[in-house]
Amino acid sequence: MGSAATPMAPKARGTLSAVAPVSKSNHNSENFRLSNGLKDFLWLISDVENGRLLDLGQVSQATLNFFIERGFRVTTDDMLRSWKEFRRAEEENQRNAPPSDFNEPLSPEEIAQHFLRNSLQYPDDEFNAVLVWDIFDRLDAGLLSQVANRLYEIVHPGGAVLAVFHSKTPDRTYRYRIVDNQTIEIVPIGPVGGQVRIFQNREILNLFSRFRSAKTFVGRDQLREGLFIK
Amino acid sequence: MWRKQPEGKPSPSATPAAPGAFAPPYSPPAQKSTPSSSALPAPIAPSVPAYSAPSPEPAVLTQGIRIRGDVTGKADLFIDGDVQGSIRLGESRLTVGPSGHVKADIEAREIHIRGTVEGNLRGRERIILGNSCHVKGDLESPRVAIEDGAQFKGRVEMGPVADARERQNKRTASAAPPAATTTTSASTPTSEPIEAQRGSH
Repeated sequence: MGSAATPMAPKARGTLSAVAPVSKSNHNSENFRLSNGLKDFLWLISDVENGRLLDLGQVSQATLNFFIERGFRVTTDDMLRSWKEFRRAEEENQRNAPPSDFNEPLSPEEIAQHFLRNSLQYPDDEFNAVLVWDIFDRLDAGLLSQVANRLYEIVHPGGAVLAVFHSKTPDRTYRYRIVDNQTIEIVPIGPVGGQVRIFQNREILNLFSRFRSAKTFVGRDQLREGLFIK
Repeated sequence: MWRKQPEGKPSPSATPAAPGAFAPPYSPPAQKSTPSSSALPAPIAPSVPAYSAPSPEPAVLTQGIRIRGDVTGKADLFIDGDVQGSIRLGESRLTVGPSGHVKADIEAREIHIRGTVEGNLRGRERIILGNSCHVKGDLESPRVAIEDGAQFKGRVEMGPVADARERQNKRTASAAPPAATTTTSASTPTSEPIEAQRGSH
């Protein structure tokens, strides 16, 4: 694509798993977490010049500033919200549709395909880095593999994806902010709306099997970080 | 009872505007004083000067107003209605209120969004996305402030936004030192919007 991205140094193939200690770092609030996944993610993209980053979570001023100050062009796409709005609209259409043999309910896969026609429509190899946060925990099953595949396509070869997975059902919904090179702030913003899927490590690796390298970090705070390199 | 208007001396409202003077917004048309009007009472001198500077309050498109087309001007503008097309306010400030729905590319000195906007935003000085906003489009401005709760989908580019005239000015005054600016560190998370500035490279 148009980005003059410097290819990242190749990381060793394979799968690693490490325990990331939960630390309050220099911050007092328990919402701050030391993130080894973030640390590695930033190291992987540290050589990229004029890079492009896609943040698939809720827009955050802190995260935006963090990457823009490092020369990235940042694109924000609150995918989970888009998905929820799409589902709501679909359900509304189904309710309002006149009874007919032609108005059969769509399968989850078909709904996912409809959604992805207008979502994540970025050019292939567009981004050097993608922040996924915990959206995979909340997406419908029919969408998971298609989103993972689409992510693979839009990431530049050598680019990195950082995702977060809950290893225990959370009691709240969270917003994530990057505070510094190794600290993520996890801000509770409300009750859990809808189902939350808990992935096993193997499921995560299968989902991102197209990526050249996968690495997961298990925290003591019920969060698992996944770092995937194309 | 009424003081008669001296002949040959037009009433204040009929005085032609001095060069450079501004007519007040929404002022009624001036009445001509004719000889036959001598029977009528002369206009009372208004307590407010007829030709005052324009009010600093922005022009307002309230709820229920719908505009399709291009909006251009030099005054600040508050939109709480529905606009489709394009908005170019040059050196002025645009505010889209909570009830505002705008489907347009926007260019202004300062853009503050609290409603719904679909289009690309170019703010010469800053763009502020309020916590009630829904914005779909790309942002380009030296400063972008996003409040918690803002819904935004698009690309953000922080850097100087220059038009053709500014680029020309920069070429002619390239030796001038850059203006001092305040940069707030982004490393301190807060619920308040943080402004950041990325200097030109």
